Formats: sequence, structure tokens, C-alpha cells
Amino acid sequence: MITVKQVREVKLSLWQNTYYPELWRGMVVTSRHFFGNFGRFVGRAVGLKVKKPLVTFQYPEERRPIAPRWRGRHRLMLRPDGAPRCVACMMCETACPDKCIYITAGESVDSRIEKYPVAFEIDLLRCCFCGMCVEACPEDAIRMDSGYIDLGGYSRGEFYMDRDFMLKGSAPTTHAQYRGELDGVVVTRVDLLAQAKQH
Amino acid sequence: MPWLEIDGKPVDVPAGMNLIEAARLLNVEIPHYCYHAGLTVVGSCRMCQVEVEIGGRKSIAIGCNTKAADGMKVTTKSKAVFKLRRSILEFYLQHHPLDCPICDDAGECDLQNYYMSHGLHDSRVALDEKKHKHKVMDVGPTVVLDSERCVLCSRCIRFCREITGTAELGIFNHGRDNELLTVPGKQLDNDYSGCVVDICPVGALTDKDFRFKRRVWYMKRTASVCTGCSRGCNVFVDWEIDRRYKDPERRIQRLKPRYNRMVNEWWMCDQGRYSYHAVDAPNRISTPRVNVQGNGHVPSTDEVLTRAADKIQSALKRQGAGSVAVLATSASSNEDLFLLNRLFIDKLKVQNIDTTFGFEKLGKQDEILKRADLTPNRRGALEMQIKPSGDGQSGDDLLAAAVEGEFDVLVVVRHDLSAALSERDLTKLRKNTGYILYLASHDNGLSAIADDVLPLAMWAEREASYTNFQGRVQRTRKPFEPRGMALPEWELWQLLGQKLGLAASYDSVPAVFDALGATFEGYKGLTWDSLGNSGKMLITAPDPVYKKVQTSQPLPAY
Repeated sequence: MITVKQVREVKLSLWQNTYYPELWRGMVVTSRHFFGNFGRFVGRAVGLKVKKPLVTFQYPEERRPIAPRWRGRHRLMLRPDGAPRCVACMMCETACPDKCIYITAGESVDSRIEKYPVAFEIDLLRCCFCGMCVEACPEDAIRMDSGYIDLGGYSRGEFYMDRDFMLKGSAPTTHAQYRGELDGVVVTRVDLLAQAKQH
Repeated sequence: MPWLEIDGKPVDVPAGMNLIEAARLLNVEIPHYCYHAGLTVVGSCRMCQVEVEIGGRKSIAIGCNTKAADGMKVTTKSKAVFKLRRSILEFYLQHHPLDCPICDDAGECDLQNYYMSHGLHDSRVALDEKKHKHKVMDVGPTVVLDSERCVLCSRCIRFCREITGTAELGIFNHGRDNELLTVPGKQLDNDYSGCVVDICPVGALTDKDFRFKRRVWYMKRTASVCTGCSRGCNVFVDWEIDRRYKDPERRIQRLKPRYNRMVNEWWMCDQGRYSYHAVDAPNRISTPRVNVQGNGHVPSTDEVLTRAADKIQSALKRQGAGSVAVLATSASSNEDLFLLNRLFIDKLKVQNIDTTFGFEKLGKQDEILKRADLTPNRRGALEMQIKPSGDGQSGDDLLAAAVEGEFDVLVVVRHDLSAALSERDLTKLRKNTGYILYLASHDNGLSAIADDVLPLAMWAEREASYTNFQGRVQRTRKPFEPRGMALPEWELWQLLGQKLGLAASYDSVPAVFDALGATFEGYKGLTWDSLGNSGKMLITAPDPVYKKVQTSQPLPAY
């Protein structure tokens, strides 16, 4: 049922039109939240019992619970024998509204598989996480992981996921850690931060 | 001329035309697999059944083998016909492997199309109970066969029997083991083997060259003409440049033949089909080049043309017209040759100019399509009289004279002289000639030693018209921009001409062609717009006689 909602133009009073009083009123709201939260945080730190919950999470030590229906970073699925399930049919690439999936198909030596992805790359900076690729896949080869929100990185290249990274899938690696492992060393975020500072 | 009604619309068709073709005149498509207009009718697929009412009696008939007759009333869309086709289609899909995701034909497959328009049923055979046949069979140098996908329409078999007369393919075994295979001991290896991929209505036969390169829905299609030999088969250029990351150098994905009854019908040869690789070859020249005083400096086109004009002018002034020679080629288009003629013959009165040389490679000629002459525009060069005049030498004499150092300035278009001459002669040519200007699209031995090299745009990067051996003028279209700083040849001649006092300034290919039509006898009355999709005959050429494209020894369909 389609209904039409009419939006009436809000007429501002002379008091509101003078601008500054309203500006200060807004600042009061912001400050109330800021100092309230600040006070509760200090209070909890010194051991007082604080009734109202804190608004700010101390990420990454403290993490906000993620809804079970959340879907984020992509994962490529494997066959029972360990080969990628993807047959490089390019349905996801075709369905992708952001054109952020780049597949290169190749001829497999296994004639049962015939076609497989030589390269399968996703540019996460372009991705809008709409899930169309998952919908389009006829082989259930691409899924989106739940539970990961830390898709941070220090360069654009770190957001360019390749086939092997996505096949690793649910292994508990952050983006930055995976990039380090590629070079044979496990690099933590702190190390990377130190490296970044040096540059 | 039978007069009949198809789906209530009256149509007047030539005698002997079948119902599928008659319906096509009204833009009504009757689904079919085995029927192909270029091959004999076998009527085996039964998809083209329609309701025919004649003399008050109604019956079901196959559209491919029923000739249109006076007073027929044909129904292609009735409920009974729809139900019939749907049942037939279900038989075809009964053991179909449904591997559309990895099938190159997906997107242009008749099984897919008719399933969407007629079928939409659920399979009654479970996926793991389906009959399996051979997959990924290497049946020849250009084609891969997947007999599981085959619908046994026998188009490819009839093509190999009737058009090429080679008969490499056949249907073997009985009943549900029925399978398309090559005849034992034979490979699908003839000069036209790529055509079986075009006529296969499903994905059973796929092209090795195109396999897994692009999905068909990514590609754009441009109507053009093949420049591989002097026949000039009409082709579609299927190209895609948006997804460059896959194979950045590959802009053209494939060539497909385009129907032209007077030239190539539905077919084209393998040599032409895979000739597009040259367009994106790694040795394409993309910038002008100075070889002698170069030091790695990349000159502009204007800089090179200014120097060339200087050299030509001073040579003509000092030693007269005999000191300049032009080795032109009939691989150039009509427009190129027209401006070449205006500049060198009409304006500068150069006598030593020719297009035909003994060292030019000849191809294989057969009765089907292939011509021995591998240049697309020999007839055009003849019409435009690109030939020596006065004391000018022709052909191989011209080249020999150049080696002996008779010319101060040598202009070479496209010819790879390093392949034509021995190493000693090439060094001699270099030493004896004051200035060599080379216009080419690919790097070779001559481009390494010429004084100045200018890059040429290739046939797929420009608009042009070519005159084939029959005298038919056909046009190409431009899918994408030239590589690097390459320019079409006629533009280079025009720019050079402007420096030498030639009063020509055409802004587009159609303008050049229309001027050409007004100048030369043979092209009189031809305009760019009149060429259309299938070309026009020169007025000096005899009226075309239509001959069916096929070998002189076709084997009958069985």
C-alpha cells in the first residue's frame, strides 16, 4: 500500500532565525552527553558504581557485540578435496554493482572442473557489502563472513583481497596480520604502526 | 509468388521459400536447432513445428521443410504449438549437464533462450542420474568438443560435408549413447573449422582461442570487414576494453562472420578469424621514432613530418622527381591510396611508385573463400592508378634500384623489407639511401634502420573502405581508438601534403571517400552513406554473379 506523506516546510521563528541562540542550545546537548559520559568513565575508573552504561567502547580491547546477521568480508569456499569451489563463471562479477570483483578464468587440468579462477580479487574499498555476489553464486563458492569488522589497513593495497586470502577465509587473521604472513613473518598491528611511523 | 498468412499477417514470399525464412520476413522467429539457411534441410530437431492450415485442413508441420504455398495460414504461437515445443525441449534438456556457469556459449545459447521462452520446467531426471558423455575433447587445432552439451542437430556435420567437403565429424552409437565425435583417425582440421563453432546452436563446440576469455554479455559488437585477404569477408568485431585487468593487451576478443550473400555468406576462414591478434600484438609501434640521430628522443608526429617534407622537397629541387621513390601497398584502404595518389602522383609527380612486388607473401587459394592475394585492396590500387609513370620503375625493379642507391628519399608503407631483402642488400639499401621514411604498424627489421618511423593505426582502430577482388567496396567501422600516437594512413598523407603545398584538408573518412567518388571513374556515384552494411560494386566492375560458397566436391548430407 503506497501512501503519500506530505512534508510541510518548517517556518522558523524570529528567535530561531537569529542563529546564535540555537547554536548554543545544540552545544549544550552535545556537552551534556560528552561530560556525562566522561564523568561516568572517570567514576568507573576510580571504582564508583555507575548506573547508566558507558556509550564509548575502548576498541580494540573492548568490542561491541556484532549482530548475528552481520555479513562483512568475503570468503571463498573450498571443495572437500581442497580445491576452490569457484568455477569462474563471473556471475558475481556481473552482479556486482560496484564492479569491484576481478576474476581471471583459466583452464583446469582436472577436466571434471574444467574452469577455475586463476585470479580472484576484490577491492574492498569499492565494495558496498551488498551481498549480491553471494546471491548470484551458483556454486555457493563465495560467502561473506560474520563477526569481523576490523577491516583496517595502512595502505590501499591492504584492501585488495586476492584469491588465496579469501580461500583462507575464517582463519582468525586480521587483514594486517595476513599481509605480514605473506612475507613469512607474523606482523602485529603495533609493528605495522611502528613501521608506518618510520616512513 | 505464394501469398500466405503467418500469425494473421499476410506476406508475399518468393517461390520455394520455407516457413522459417518466410516468418523471418515478418520478424517472427520460429525456434529451431538443426535448420541453417546455408545448409541442407534435415528436419531432425522438430523444434520448428508450426500449425499450418491449407484448404480448410489443419495440421502440424515442421517449418524448415515446409515450403510456403499460396493460401497457407500458419500459426506459430498457438497453445498446441507451444506445448509441442516445450515437450521437445524437455527431451533435449533431459540429459543436458546444465554446466552453463562454465560454458562459453552461455548468453548466446539457443537451449537457454528457448528454455526461458518455452520450457521453464523442472527436470524429471535427477542430476546424478543423467547420462554422461565425453567432455573437453580436443578435436582439432581450433575447436574443443563437449558432446554432453550437444543436441545432435548435425549442423557441424553438414557443414563439413557440404561446404568444405572434408567430412571430419559424424554421429556415432545408438539411442541415448548417440554422440557427436570425429571420424576415427581424423581431426577437425580444415581451413574453415572455426565456422562449426558459429553454427553450433549450443555450447558443444567452443573456440580454443576464445575459451574462457570473456563472457559474451561483456562484449560489444561492431560490423566490419576482414582485411586478411582480397575477398574481404564481412565480420563482426567482438571487443571489450572496460575490463582491462584481465588481459590488458587483448581488446578484440574474437571475430565472427557476418552474413553477406555476395561475398562470404555465413562463413569465414580460420586464417581471417584469428588475424585479429595482430591488432594487439606486443610489437605494435605506438610512437613516432627517430633512429639515426635519435638518442632515445621521442619526436612528435609533426616533427617527423616536417623533416620528411624538408627531405622530399630538397631532393625534388636538387635532382628532380626521379630521386624520390614510394613503395606503397595495396594493404592500405581506398582513402589512404586516394591521398597517396593526390600527394605523390598528382602533386609531386613522383614516377617511381608501385604497390605490387614479387616479395609479397601469397596465401593459399581455394574455391570456397580464401584468396591467394593477402592484401585487401589490390583492386582499389588498380582503380586509383598507383603505378609507375614515365621513366618510373615498377615492382621488383624499383626495389632493386633502391638497393643500388638510385633514390635520395625512400618512402615505404607497411612492407617489411627486412624479410624481402637479404641482410647484405638491406645494409646496402640503408647505406645508399639518404632518407628512409617508414610507415608501419609493427616493429620489424626495417623499422630498426629507417630514419624516421611513423606508427599506423590498424583496421580495427579506424574507419576505412576496401575494394575487394570482385570490385565490391565495403566499409569497416571503428570500435576503439588507435594504440598510442598511431594515426590512420590518410591523415599522415594529408598532414605531410599540407607541408608540401597540397590543398587537401578533409576532416573525416566519409569526406575523403566522397571526394574519391567524385575523382575516379570506377568510384563514380559511390558515397560513404551508400556503402551501408553490405557494400556497393564499382561501376567498372561487372555485375556480380551469385555463386553459392562451397567446395566443388561437396558430399551430400546423409
